[in-house]
Amino acid sequence: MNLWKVFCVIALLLFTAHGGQPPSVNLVALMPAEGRFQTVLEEIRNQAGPGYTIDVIDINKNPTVKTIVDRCKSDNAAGLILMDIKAVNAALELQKYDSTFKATPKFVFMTLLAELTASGLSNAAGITFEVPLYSLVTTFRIISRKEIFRVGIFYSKSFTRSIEESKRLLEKEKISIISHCVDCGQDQKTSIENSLAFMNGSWGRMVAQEKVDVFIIPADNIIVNSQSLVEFWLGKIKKKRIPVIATIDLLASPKFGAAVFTADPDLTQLGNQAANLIAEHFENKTSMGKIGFEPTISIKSTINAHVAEDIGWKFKDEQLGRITTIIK
Amino acid sequence: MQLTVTMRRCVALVVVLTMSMAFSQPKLLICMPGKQNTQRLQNGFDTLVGQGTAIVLGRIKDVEALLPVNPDAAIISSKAFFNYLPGYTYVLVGKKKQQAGEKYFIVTASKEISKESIARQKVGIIDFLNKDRLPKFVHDQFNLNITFLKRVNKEDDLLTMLGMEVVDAIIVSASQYRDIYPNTRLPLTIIATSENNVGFAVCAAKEGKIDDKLVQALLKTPVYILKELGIDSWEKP
Repeated sequence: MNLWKVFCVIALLLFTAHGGQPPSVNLVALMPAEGRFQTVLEEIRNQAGPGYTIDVIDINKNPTVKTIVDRCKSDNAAGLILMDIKAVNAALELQKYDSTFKATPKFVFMTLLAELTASGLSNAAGITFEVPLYSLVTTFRIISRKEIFRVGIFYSKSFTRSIEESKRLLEKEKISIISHCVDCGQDQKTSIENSLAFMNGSWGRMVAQEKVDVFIIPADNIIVNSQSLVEFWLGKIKKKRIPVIATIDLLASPKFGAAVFTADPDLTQLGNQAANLIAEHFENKTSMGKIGFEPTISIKSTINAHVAEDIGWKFKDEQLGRITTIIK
Repeated sequence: MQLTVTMRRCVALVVVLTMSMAFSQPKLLICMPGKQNTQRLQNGFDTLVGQGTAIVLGRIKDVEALLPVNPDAAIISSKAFFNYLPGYTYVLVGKKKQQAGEKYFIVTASKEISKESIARQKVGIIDFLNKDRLPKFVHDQFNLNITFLKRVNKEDDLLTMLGMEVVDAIIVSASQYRDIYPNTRLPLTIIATSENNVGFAVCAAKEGKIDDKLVQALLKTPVYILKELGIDSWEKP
């Protein structure tokens, strides 16, 4: 990037960080005032435009409920932006402390299992932070030379709802998810050891009889942890040359080399998506209940070319432009 | 708060003015939203017209923010962008298969959605104009006032939104539709076609004033960059 561009971008950010017109919607953001949260916030500001003012309270500084209430009142806040579970918990406290906040629109972003985590919040909508299995699987299919029809996944019961939703959506793409819950049975206790034993006992059938083309590793430490990584994912699945795709970028890194393809949320585009959601409420007057929770749309993806070579998986060269990082 | 804004602007102006004295200003701004690979495009233009001459931007909003500090820069963007930006004259027009434009479509993946019902539903579109101009573009081309346009910056995200039912339909150019179609098994259906052909990329400058050397360099744009811009060739209008 040349120097002029660097300075133009700085100027651009400074100009657009707070717009020129008097704001008509004031929002308070409870969030960790750091790196990736700031990336999302900046894009919300950029895309929402000058009609919005967003005041930030750093949730990592553990503000008291009263501090938050006072700031919301002095800002005349029309809504709250909540990023991270600590912010959601603070909003729950806020509702208890002052019931008038129940009616305040609350936008939940960058929070794992957002809909579940925010289930106690009134008047909330947001974006689920996990990369949806839909985009993980369809992107991998688009770039792969081999057709994919059946995808295997082990999951723990807290993921049941998202697995069922992914099954429904992927069915329209004529892709079946072959799912096995590691702890849904009455006699199955949730533990890493039990899950590993379950996976060891099931994967052979999934490959031989259920004909899975690809395995997914979800972002769930019951399914992926240091023990299962070595003993199962690297020790069995990779050795059988079955491709593994994951929603944890680290798994495609040279250090782990377990996944051939991974995806992560694209944070800048997540900010854009969040701004769309905020506008939907304040400009289109859509109720928060109707907006609800939507999945993260945009992803950044990684291919580990070494893993692809090891397992003999081929990609379509003409489709690789959509991949953010190729580890060679 | 107001003081902070004023201070930020002062700092911004000082930075820009200082740099404008120290370095040559870019002569060309390029923005084709939807294309992901802005770095590849930037590298290509650096080779073509020289380092520091061109800036590739991913969002129309960024172009508009830079115009006040680069008032004489020529711009490469979609022809539709200049319909809403007065004072600019085309110096080069992008052609594809000898055509200067193409139709846009409203596409769904559900038989229950029709042109009559879509105005009340959510529709995804690439943000190639901006938040305020896109509804006008959609009205002009489809005679529809769509309640909510969901803007994205990456072409790949259109299909994802449709597949995940975040939107009920998407608006795509004929070329985007051809790119998307083989990548999905969704039952895509075109429910509306634009009134007019919408122009491909053009290069425009204020009152048509542009350095002739820059035009000559652009006329030699290599094929891979033209492809990124969605065209086969440049022609003088």
